[in-house]
Amino acid sequence: MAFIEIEHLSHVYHAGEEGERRALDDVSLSIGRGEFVAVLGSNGSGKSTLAKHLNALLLPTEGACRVDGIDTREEAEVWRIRQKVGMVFQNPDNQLIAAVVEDDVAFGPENLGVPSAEIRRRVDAALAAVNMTPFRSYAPHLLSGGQKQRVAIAGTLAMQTEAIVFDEATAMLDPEGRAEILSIVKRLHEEQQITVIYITHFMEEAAAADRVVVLDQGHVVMDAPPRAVFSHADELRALGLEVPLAVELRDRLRAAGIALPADLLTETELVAALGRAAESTVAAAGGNAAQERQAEASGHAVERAAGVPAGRGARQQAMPGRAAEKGGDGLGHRA
Amino acid sequence: MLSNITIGQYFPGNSLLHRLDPRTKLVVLFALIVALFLFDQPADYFVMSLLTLGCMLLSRVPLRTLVGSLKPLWWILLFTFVIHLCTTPGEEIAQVWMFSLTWEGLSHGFFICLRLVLLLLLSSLLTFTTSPLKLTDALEALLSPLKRIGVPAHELAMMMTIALRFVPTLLEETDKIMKAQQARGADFTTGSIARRLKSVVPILVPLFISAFRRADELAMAMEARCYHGGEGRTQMKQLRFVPLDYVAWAGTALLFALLAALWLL
Amino acid sequence: MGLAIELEDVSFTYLPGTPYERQALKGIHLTIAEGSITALAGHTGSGKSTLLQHIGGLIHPDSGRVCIDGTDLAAHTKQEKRAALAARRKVGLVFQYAEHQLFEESIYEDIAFGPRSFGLAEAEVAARVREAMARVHLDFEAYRDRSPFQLSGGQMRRVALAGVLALHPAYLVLDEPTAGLDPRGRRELLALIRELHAAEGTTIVFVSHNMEDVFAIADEVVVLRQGEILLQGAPAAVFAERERIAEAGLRQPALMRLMTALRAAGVPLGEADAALRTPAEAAAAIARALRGKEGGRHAQ
Repeated sequence: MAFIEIEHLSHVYHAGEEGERRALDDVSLSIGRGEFVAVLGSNGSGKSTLAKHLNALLLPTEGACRVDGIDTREEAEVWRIRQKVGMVFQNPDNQLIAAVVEDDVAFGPENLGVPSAEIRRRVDAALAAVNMTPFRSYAPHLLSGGQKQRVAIAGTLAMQTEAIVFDEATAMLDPEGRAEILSIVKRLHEEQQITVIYITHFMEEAAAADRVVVLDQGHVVMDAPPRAVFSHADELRALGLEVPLAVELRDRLRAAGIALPADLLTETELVAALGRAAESTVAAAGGNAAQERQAEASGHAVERAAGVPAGRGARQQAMPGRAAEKGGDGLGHRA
Repeated sequence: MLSNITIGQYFPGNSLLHRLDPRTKLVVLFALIVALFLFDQPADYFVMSLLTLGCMLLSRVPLRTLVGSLKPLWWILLFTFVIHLCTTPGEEIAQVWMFSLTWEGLSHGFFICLRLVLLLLLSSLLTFTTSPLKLTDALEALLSPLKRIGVPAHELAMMMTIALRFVPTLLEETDKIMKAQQARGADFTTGSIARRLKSVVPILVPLFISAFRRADELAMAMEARCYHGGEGRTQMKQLRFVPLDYVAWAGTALLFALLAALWLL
Repeated sequence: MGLAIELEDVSFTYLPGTPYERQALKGIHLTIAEGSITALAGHTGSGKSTLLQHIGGLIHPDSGRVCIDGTDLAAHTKQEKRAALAARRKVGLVFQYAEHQLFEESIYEDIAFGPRSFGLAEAEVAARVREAMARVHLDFEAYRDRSPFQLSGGQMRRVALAGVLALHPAYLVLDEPTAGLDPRGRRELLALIRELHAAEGTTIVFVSHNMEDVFAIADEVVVLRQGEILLQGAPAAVFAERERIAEAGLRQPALMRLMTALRAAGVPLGEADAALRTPAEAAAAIARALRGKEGGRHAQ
């Protein structure tokens, strides 16, 4: 049996009251030990609700969620579940409890009743794992967002969790902070075999996972390796998501008649593929194309850029019916 | 900027006083305050002044910073002194309007003020050399025997910890919201009292909303990290008395004996 | 082009004379032209938000001057004060996570707060609210009575933006306008800023640590580092200075990095192609380059 088993799970907020909302609808998903799963979805897709089921912060309205064979509805087991599945939340300011970094990391093991000397050992190891040892005696409000999130990761590591759920943990960070967190997550996954469930709306981050689950309106609409998911660029855009830059260029170049693999994913791959294409072109064109291009291109550089990717109309037509039913933001873009 | 205000006035360091167990410091401070009120002979004051000065030097906190902590109380001291000077009966020095200033008043006022100054300096020494966190731990430890009679020692300490953690964050937030509403033309400084009270609404409402959101998220984060009250909980940093603490205790006992002797003489 | 916003030798220190003293700005000279979209880029702590608050007149420099249309924002005499207030009111300041400052029960009331504080008549207030909501694409009838707290994050931010637009600022100043938004929210907000600029010619100054945003909409970039201006100029020129950008703790925009890497890999792109700002333009340039010179002319 997989480490995390979700069977026909539905979650309804305010059931039977005014404002009743079905955030998850018949979701089935299983996540194996040691997997790195990214969960993508726009606001309101249900991804945070899903995350909170994984360590019994929310309980299913219908269906079931089991962690290592334990049903999350078993009240007596809730601390065991939370000890297995840790969580890093979105807002770095609202999840650190203590006024000193190392005390905060100790908070989890202290709650679990771990002996003092062992807590000390775990705290030191956890801080080292996220490169925060030099900041051990800092007050959290003096740290950057990325540093606070690293402390939060250390806090779950100190509980010796087997899996960590990142609930949009990079959404409020600057690009440096995001890169920092992602590289630490990758390292923990590789070196400590931590199971990672990484909820995000940044496509480049999702591309780093082994598997990408796409949620929309409470349903799983895609579940495949990133290479496969990002070959459906139009569907993703219809769901209010984007694709990584390399994928976007890949599709545009393919449309312009340049031969590129349909599942090309990373910038490195794109550069290599285009480099090879250029070699053959340059050989054919006799070599002076480069100078010609330089003269021509300088004329375009000053043109006003339009940052919104073109093709919004096409995206709307491609939108699945389910997504179009409930216009999430009332802007009329989801006509 | 509001966000830079620190709680308490902890002055990081590694002096003898910094290294004392916070429980020792709390208990000793309490004993010294009792002594200050109990023993009021000039010789006692002299010994206490010497002791305070010695502690100040030992703490390695700059004297100017320590004395600076008296600044807000300057007026209270002056007021206390003048009241005593004018109202104590005895040998008259001079007559000012309807008050007669006396030698007794002069000495009485001086010693009362000295007592206040020593009291403040000693308390400041505690907060200068002990981080608020250690104070919290010490309070929890000292209160824990009272758990049996229903004093929620752990809960009180947890509340203090969270307050210490979030006061800087909330101050920063208040500063930001004030500026944001000012940028929309809000005016907090002019107009009638009613108008000024009303002008606080655009600050308080967002601040409350934010505080509640934080509280909600924090509670969830604490649950996710298996917090379930003080029961079965251990602590990474256990307070442990070191030889230095026993020396401090013995010293305090000796001091008491000395002060009592001077007082009786 | 007039010289809309001028900073002359502006220095500012937080909590001077305390152990927490920190100099946030060091002798800044900066002129922002009327009608431009200027980005202030920098790492956390570079002084960019402090600079923004100076432009909004919320804090005054310790030394130096901040002038809006030639009027010093720091006033001393009563007469100066009136002029300074008028100048300050030309600047609309939108804070980071602006949705956190909403407080009224309805969207209408919240947007009306600013115009009312400025002492406008109720009829004028109503007209301004209606217009501001239209500018941020919120339907007046559908949304006026709704609570701002029931909206999505992106919508709440647009309500907060409308609250500032209702003040009719000549200069719109935004701190991290897209922080925390999902891709759709970010795209919509950037499009909105560009629309405001195109429709009204509003001068826009925004702070960002997201170089993609800067590259997408700015026509002037000021890179700050430790309270000083490190680089200033057109985005293409500024971002071409890769090492100095890194020195400021920033990265080149992804597209520029990719185009540079492609050139290095032998794709015959011109130097100026690295300055292309949209994937569409970049793809067209690559396609042309790969097809050789005959193909290239036709593709354009």
